Amino acid sequence: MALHRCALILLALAALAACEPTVRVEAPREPITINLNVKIDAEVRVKLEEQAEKDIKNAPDIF
Amino acid sequence: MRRTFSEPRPGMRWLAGLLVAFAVLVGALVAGSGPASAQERALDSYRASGVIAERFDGYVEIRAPAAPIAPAEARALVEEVNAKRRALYTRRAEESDVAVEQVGKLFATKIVETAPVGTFFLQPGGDYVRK
Repeated sequence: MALHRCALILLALAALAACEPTVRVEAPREPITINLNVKIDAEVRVKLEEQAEKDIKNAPDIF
Repeated sequence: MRRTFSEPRPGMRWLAGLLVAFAVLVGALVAGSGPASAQERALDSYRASGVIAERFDGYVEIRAPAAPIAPAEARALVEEVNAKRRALYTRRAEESDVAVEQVGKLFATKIVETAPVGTFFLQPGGDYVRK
């Protein structure tokens, strides 16, 4: 029975450890709204918004 | 009645299998995050600590109040990052036939989302807002 309880504790610890990286990844994704007050033409937004997101993701050295 | 470790009950074996599965999952999650380059780490740490600020025009700068204490490494990093960003913005502007200043500002609105918490952002009016 003691062995069983020990295994359950280990299981709980493993579950906790498994969850931890997920929590860390999601932490900076809080809905923080910062308005830069910049005017961007609708045309530019339509043409480049997706590309900009991709570029930023692909170049973490400079973004 | 005594049990020995050499003859585990079926229930215990099931638990052991579950533990192994968890270990594999944890390993995969850690490995999946991938290694960050030294420059990426430096940029993120200078931004989080407020030495390097993001600007509304899509470039970085040494944040004015931090200027007297900013290390040479941070100044060099600002130059390098801005040169690379300028090259990218120019390319995207030419491809899409839009003004390069507009491209920089569009990127700035996206950088707001991805920059680390603690980063300062310079607004057009000259004020800094901290994430």
